[in-house]
Amino acid sequence: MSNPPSTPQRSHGDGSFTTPTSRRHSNFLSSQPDYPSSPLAYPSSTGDTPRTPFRTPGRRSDIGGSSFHIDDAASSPLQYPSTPMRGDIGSPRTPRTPFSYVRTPGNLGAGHSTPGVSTGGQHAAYPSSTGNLDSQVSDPSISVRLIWGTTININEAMGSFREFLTNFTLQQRKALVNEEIRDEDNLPFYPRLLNQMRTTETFNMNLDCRNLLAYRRTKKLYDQLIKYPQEIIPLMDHTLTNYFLEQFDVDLNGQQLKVRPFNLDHSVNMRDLDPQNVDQLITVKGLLIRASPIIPDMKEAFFRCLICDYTTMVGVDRGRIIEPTKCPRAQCQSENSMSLIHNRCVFADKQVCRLQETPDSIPDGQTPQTVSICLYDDLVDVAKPGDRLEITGIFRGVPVRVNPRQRTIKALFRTYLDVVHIKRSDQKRLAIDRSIINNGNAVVSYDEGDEIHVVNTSEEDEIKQLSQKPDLYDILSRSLAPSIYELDDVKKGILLQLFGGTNKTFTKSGSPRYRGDINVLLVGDPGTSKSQLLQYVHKIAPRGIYTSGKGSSAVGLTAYITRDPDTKQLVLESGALVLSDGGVCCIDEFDKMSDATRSVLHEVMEQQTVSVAKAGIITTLNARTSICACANPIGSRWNKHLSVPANLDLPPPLLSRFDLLYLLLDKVDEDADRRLAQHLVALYMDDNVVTGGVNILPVEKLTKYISYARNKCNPVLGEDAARRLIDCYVELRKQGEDRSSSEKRITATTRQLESMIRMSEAHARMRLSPTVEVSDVNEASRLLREAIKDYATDPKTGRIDMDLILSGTGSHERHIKDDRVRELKTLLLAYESSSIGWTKLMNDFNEQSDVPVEAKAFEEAVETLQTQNVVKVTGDGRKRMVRRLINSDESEF
Amino acid sequence: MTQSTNIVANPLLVLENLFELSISKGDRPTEFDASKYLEDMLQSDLDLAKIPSLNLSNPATLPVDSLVRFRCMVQDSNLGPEIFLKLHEVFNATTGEKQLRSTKYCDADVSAIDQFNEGRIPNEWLDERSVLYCVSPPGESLWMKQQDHPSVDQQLENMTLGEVNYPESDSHATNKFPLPGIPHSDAVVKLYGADRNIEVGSRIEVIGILSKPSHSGASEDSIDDFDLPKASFPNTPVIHGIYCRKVNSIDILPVSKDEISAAKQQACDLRAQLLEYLGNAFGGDVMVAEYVLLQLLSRVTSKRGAFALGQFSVNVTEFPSETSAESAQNGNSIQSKFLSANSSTRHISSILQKLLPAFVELPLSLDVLNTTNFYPRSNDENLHAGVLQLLDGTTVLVDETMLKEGTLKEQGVKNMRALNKVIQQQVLGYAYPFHEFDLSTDIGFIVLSRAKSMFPCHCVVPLSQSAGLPLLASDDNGSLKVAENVLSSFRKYIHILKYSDYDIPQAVSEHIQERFVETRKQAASESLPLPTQDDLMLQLNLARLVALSFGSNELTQEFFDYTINLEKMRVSRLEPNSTTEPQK
Repeated sequence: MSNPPSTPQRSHGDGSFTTPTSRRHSNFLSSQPDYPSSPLAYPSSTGDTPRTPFRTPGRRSDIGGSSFHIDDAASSPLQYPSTPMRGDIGSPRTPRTPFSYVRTPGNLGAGHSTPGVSTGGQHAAYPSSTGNLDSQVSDPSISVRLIWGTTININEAMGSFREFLTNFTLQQRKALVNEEIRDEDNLPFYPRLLNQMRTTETFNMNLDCRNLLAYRRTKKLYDQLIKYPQEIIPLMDHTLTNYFLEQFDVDLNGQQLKVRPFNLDHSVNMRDLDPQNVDQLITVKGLLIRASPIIPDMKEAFFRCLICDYTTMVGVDRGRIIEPTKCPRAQCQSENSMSLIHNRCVFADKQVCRLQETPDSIPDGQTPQTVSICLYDDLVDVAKPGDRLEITGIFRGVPVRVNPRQRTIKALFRTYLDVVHIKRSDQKRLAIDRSIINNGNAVVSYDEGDEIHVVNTSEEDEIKQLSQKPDLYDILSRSLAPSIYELDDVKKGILLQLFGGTNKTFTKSGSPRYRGDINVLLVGDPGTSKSQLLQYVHKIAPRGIYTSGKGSSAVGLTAYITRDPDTKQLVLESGALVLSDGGVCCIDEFDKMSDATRSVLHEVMEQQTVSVAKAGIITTLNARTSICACANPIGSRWNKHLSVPANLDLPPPLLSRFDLLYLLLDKVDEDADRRLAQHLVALYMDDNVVTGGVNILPVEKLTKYISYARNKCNPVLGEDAARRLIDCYVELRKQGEDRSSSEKRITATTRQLESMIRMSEAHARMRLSPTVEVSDVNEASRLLREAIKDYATDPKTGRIDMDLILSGTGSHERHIKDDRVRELKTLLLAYESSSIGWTKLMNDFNEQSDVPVEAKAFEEAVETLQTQNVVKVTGDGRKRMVRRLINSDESEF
Repeated sequence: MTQSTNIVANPLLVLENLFELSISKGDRPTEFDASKYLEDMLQSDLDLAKIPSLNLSNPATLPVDSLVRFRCMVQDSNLGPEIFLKLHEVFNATTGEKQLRSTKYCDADVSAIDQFNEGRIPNEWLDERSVLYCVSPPGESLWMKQQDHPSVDQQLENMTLGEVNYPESDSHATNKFPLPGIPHSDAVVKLYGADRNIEVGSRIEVIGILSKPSHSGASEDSIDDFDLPKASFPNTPVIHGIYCRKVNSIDILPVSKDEISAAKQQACDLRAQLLEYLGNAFGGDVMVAEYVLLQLLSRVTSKRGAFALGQFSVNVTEFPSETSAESAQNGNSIQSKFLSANSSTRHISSILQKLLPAFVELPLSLDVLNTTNFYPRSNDENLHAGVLQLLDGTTVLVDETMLKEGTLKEQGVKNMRALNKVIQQQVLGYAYPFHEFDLSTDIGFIVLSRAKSMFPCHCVVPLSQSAGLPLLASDDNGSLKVAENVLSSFRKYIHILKYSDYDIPQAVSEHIQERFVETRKQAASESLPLPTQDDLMLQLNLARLVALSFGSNELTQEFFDYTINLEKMRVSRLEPNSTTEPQK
């Protein structure tokens, strides 16, 4: 549009948003001379009632000359040359989209079946608009104008929208949904937004339709927007532009502000799109699977005469540009002399994409559906294949022509969406919306949650109802892996893992993020359905990834860099842990993992990031994932006489990072065996048994419940709960104290306290409660204690000892060591000479002791003494000499 | 009578009359629906056999716009719903009247209609239809085809059946049949009305109007600049379904009540005969035959979470792998990619084919693994079929003996994973861009291998070393030639018992529990490996199949003990060669 058109009537014609349709009609008409040229002859089609004025060439050129703010601008918005995109919405200028059709006014069917209604007469059968149209032609200043076939009163629509722009405050919306109202919310919202748009020179305004709904006077406008977007959106554009120009004295350079409506009050499932939705504004969610390259869509062609250099512009007409065969200049008139000058033509960006249903909305047993979407101008390339999008657009159906040159069509319609707004529901890339509007307070903030499941209101009620049930905890834990018998505490632990604690950042203290994810390790005998539990977790967890330790390499878990075979570019590919960011990563055969692989888990499990420094790419990726792992004991069967670290081929630092560690032992226990057998027999008892117990939630519902809770509920520790947590922790620590001796076993560390907090939060989240209460803490501490009892019991003493997990040796053993050193020291002091032979010392030491002391233990003791500067060892092997450095009187230090 | 012949020969005319009739009766033209009419016709005087079937004949030879039927598997349930014009107005020049015409059930070109010029099409004239891609049932046995089309002349059939294959110049359609290179027929089925939720992989029977391929030629696609190139099937015939019925696996073989009770009564006899018959294939090894028979009777009875109950997969080990010279010669053509070169395997499959309604042979050679697709995947929005996209109730004979050392490429690894998943969990992953989702299956597996199979089968049965292999020894003329009526009773036996109800009485249930507790105690005292949950589940599953195979709907203590003994025999076979661990 920036090129001043040399022939105004051409340039203008196509720019205005409804003209293609109308012009098409006029062309059809011109071939049918018996049609009257009165507006009544064009009763149909998209929304061009007011198109009548500019069908007369004279009038049209008039408008072409006038630019933006003209006398009657407010009353005739449709004459505005709008941008190409709007043109496309107003009426498809794509090829083979020449027909638009009427949106079923009530009396239409009757009109059709009435025999003998001639074309001319038929139009008279639509009395609703006749009068208005008439008046419109005869007197453009009359205010009541309806768009034909709709209920839209132009002035009313524009007036209410203008009022909305001027007066709407965010407070109005927030009051309805009980959101927190800030001071600035009481100021009119849109003037501020527009101001911001002016400074940033963005000319698209994202219009949150919730605002329209919240504002009393625009409720009707909202309905009309849904039903007649092709009419209302240009009206809105126009009003907005006018309003903007009134507010600020800027030269828009021929541009028009555009409204991008989004957040409709409900979104349509792609599967449910049907003919009734045609030409309505709808929101669909989906996954972008393919995108075409950007298509330069020619809007106006620029021709120059080779002979006289006369230039002319030709607009698109019914998807085609007709090359002038003759130089239009009266003096020249040479034939076939016009040639296209490419770089002076006007193009617009266009992109065609395919949107596929999101996996969660596909009904059972169906393959996903796809729909074509057309993106224009600055929406082009906003989304990339793989993005989850929420698209607002106009659903369009166009008949398919047998041949583009013929008017014969097939009875088949092609459907697509003309996109007006894209919202990414993908958590990681929120950039677009912000960049399109702006950042800052004026921007509608999007929920950051990764929308895995759409919970509509009825489901929400159901979920809330469920959360009120007193036996909720049992129902949920039963529903988790119903085929696995018993293991109730394990299931509960895993359930809490699925809900997860709250992630915290303490911005004030500048401390890093605290993880809320709960890690669980299952250790046990083969055949205790560990892997099955993992499979369930993987199924249920949002973003569950399942890997096997044996088959995973460090890079496979974290991230790796490859060279793209086509472009030779370095590409960072994320591994399982990064992919399960925000979910649960299930690792089977954890113990079979190589050490290198395992070491990357240290970072992931505490810091929740993956750092990559490789091939020129240095980065830290988020891996906010819970880990649910299972491992087999060394020698495949659990040795009751050994402690956990001795039974497991896992380094203690890694073990301590698991909040919960469960032992699943295959014990011979008559009662348990019998119950198991009974359970299994029941499975086979009757064909098609539905449950493995009563009152079980189906997997889908459980998943929905969990993702709802994770998205909506972020419990905070209550006062009482905090106190209770402290008590529990102290209690747990106290267990290490022993009345009889001064020795101290460590029964809990801060890691356990943190675990306890996380689990209480998860438990509160499960109840959808905003605060953590004492009951949550009690359950968390119970679960934790159960787990500790199982795994941190020192088999030698039968007492809980966290040192076992933390350092690999229990306190009991440590005490023995200390005793040994003490005794050795006493022995040394007892000698006359200050140097003693190694072998002699060892023999003497052994003699003195009740239990034989191994050479290694002896060596260890000597070494300890050496570091304490009590002795010094000289020599090698058997000839070693131990030299005493202190005397007996100095021994008390 | 004339009406019924009319509707077969010229259904469009009949429908048009029907439409006019319904309008004159005052029905709303938008609600015109012919399915009821056809259903009534089928009930009364229209013989199903009179309708030509696409399963049998080449669609090219059938007249366009005639009534056809097609028994098929839904390969892809979403070629996208189509919005179409179901009504249009025709201007009658002579009378000057406008008439409504129905364009439902056809792909009519609506030429130069007045209202289009005016751009007036009421939304209510538009309707939506679902479009499915259907293929003839993969792996369907010859006798099934015969049984379904009794009218077809036997001799003629033997010649033409299985050659219903027309040239496929159409690149999109070649990947739509699960078993590449096997003759089949396919069609794009457009369904109107209530049949919207037909699941992919289900078996349906459609009666509808055959019309020519819908997208005629490339002219349309090439100039289509506002759509991404989408798969079209220019050579695949289109059926506008008037009547569509979902066929459950239990219904594929119609059996009467008498037949059911007869089969149950004679179950013991039939079982013995069948064992002998099957044993032929395995060199007279009755125990292997017994396990195979139990396999044939298994099906998925219930799905719970990650695993399916009821399906029972057998791995026959120690299977010979020599290829006979004869089959090596034949084994060159593309078609035989899915025919094992192992003559013993061929022998088994020829027997199973005679017994089972649907059977697929899957020789795992590196070539097959690396070059074919086992799982369906979407490629440019065209869902390509995978070998494992099969109808419920199909049995797959996996021949691992053909596998040699070599490199498994990416495709091969994915194939192995897919096969593993189906065997283990009875779900097949459909690969779509950016995500994969699982659909449940019910496919039986018999794996033949030399040593223990790579796949997690429920149980491993080694072939007895004494068995008379190579199995060809029992020649085709002898015991294999079983009279057709015997075969038919075998088929019914398998089908009826497979879908019989089953129950475990309380007393037996307690017996089983007691036994389990006892054996565990015993094992613990002798420090043997403890019997696990999986062992018990296998026993229970086998017990169910054993009871069924004897024609009983109830597990008795005898059947359970029989099962235990069977298991003992099997495990004892496993022991001598300690290399193979007992499979859980």
